[in-house]
Amino acid sequence: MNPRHILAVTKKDIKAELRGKETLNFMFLFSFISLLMFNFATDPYSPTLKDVAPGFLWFVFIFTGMLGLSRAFLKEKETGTLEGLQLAPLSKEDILYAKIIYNLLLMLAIEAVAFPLFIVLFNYEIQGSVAEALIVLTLGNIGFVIVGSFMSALVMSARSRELVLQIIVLPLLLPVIILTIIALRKVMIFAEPLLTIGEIKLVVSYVAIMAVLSSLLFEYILEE
Amino acid sequence: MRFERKYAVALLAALWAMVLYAMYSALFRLGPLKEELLRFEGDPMRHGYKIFFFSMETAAITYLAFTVLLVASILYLRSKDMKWDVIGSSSAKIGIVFTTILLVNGAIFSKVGWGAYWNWDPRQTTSLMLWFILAAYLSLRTAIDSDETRARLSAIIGIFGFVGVPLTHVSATIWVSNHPQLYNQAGKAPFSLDKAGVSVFMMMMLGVLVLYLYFMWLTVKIERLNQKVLSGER
Amino acid sequence: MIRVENLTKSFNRLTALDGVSLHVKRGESFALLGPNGAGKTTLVRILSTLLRPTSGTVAIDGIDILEDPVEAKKRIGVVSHNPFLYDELTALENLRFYGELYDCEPEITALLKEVNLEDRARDLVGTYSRGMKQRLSIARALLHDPPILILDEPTSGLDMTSRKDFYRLLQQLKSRGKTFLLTTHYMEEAKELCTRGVLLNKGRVVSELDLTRPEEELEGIFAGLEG
Repeated sequence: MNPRHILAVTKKDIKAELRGKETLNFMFLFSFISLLMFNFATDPYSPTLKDVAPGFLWFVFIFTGMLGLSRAFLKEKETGTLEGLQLAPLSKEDILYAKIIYNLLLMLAIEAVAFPLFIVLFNYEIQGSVAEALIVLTLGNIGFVIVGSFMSALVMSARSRELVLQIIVLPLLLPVIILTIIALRKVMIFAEPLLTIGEIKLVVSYVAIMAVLSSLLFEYILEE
Repeated sequence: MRFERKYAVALLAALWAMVLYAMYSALFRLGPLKEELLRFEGDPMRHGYKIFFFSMETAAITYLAFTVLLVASILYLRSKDMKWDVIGSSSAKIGIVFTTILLVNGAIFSKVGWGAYWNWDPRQTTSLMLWFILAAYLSLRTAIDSDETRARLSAIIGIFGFVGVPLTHVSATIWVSNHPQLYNQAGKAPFSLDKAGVSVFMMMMLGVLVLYLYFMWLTVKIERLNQKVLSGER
Repeated sequence: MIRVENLTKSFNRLTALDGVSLHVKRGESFALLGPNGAGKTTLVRILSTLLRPTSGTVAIDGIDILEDPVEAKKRIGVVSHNPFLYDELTALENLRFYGELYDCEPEITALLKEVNLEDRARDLVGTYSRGMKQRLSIARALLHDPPILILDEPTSGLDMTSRKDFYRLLQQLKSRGKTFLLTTHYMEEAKELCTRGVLLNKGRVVSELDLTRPEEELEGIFAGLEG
């Protein structure tokens, strides 16, 4: 692992994305429109809304993230630059780490806009600490981005890869998704602090296992 | 050849007779649950506990199928020998059958014990996750044309997917669950089987295990023939 | 400089390379000729560490590419028909990015001058013509000043003038003592740039070629292959 290499690749991706903004724009519009749909589908005065809204929020993030994920490796593969990276003397895992960081930044950027939008649209008042809610969200994101980036590289040579990607990523992330929703609901509904510590611990350990597996197995994805 | 087959058929018939007998015993010959273990009067678990004999075995085979898939996947990545891919994918195919049975069992148990077929109990949720992982593994395989790439990439999923097994196993302890546990925190079984129960359990376990092995043997054989046909060998 | 011993690569049941051995000396320009599907690309991909051989060994500058791929990568520059450049970045940014990956402080301005792109350095590569991209690709391959240049059908899709420019550039590099390995299916191109080579067909070395011999004679060998 060479932080300089990782940083260089991430920086390159961000720069290229900011020039074209293709993925970012799509992701933002998608998250906006799906939040609106969910909002339209629910009654704003319904007492159960407070219960289900955190789940909506998380699903919007997941499916928006999925859009970005499938691009990160695919674009390098389509333009052939993935080979350029493999020709350079950097370890293969560093490419994965760079993409993970890049995807995480993309997701956080979207969420920075979508989260306030959610609060406004659903007229939501977070009862617990906002910081705790953000920690839970970010942790969930990290887990999602690690498994997602790895799998998006894996499905590169499959047919209808965007579909296959979702079919693979969602089950593997089921524990993270469920735990994050539970934790998010707790933070948003109850005022008591640190109620989510149990879920946080579980998410961290699960994600750690996924991270170790990803870095161990990544070389087999690029190997031919 | 004929001779061997005769023995195999006889053996299988004997096994089936044994499993049928075990099933019959589990359902009709074993007594109800001890009074002190019932949660309330008229608890449906009085007889409902017997589904344990069915779901425990299927769960064990599901774990076994995943373990075989894991080992075969690791061995494939190390040796690039197609044999391991055939074994791994066969185990996944059989595994998904057993996981389906497990889920049905779980739903029946859930209805009897808790009142709803599906109530997102951690055990149920994680078993469902196992089913989805195998489904993902098998659908990824249909989406890749090159044999070598398919074997390599699905082996990676085979290794990742195994994470679901320990998770399912500990799920009832680390989450709040209504699922009955084999061992409580003191390490003692909250309910223990009497002698008759143990023998029924062992008979069914053996029966299902042989069934798994028989399916494995068949699937691997079919896969081998498939490859022979495709490569034009005689 | 490049030593290939008994190299075999099979995909599934298809054998792409079947016991290929060759030896390229330091400073030499070596051509790999052959029709499509002869195994040229497979061989080049193995040499540039993108592909793992089924059996056999490759040593680059005395370094086994399977044992120490990172050191081997530092000694080769690859120019392929794909330029490996990012359209959304400028020429300068592209070179700086690859420079960071190779852990070197390249003389980017000098390199850009050499490939005659210094006045377009701040333009996005997406606005470049194919010929310009290929020239920038050479600059990219030279960033870490490798002793060996692998050229994998570098002129496919280039028009006549760009091709001439490209050859001139490569001749300059040759005079600086770089070792070339060129794959091509044009005999003229091989004759233009190389002195020695091999003819590959169906994954095997069919014959050794002395590219200083007259063209008609060489064409004869080529024709014999097709028939």
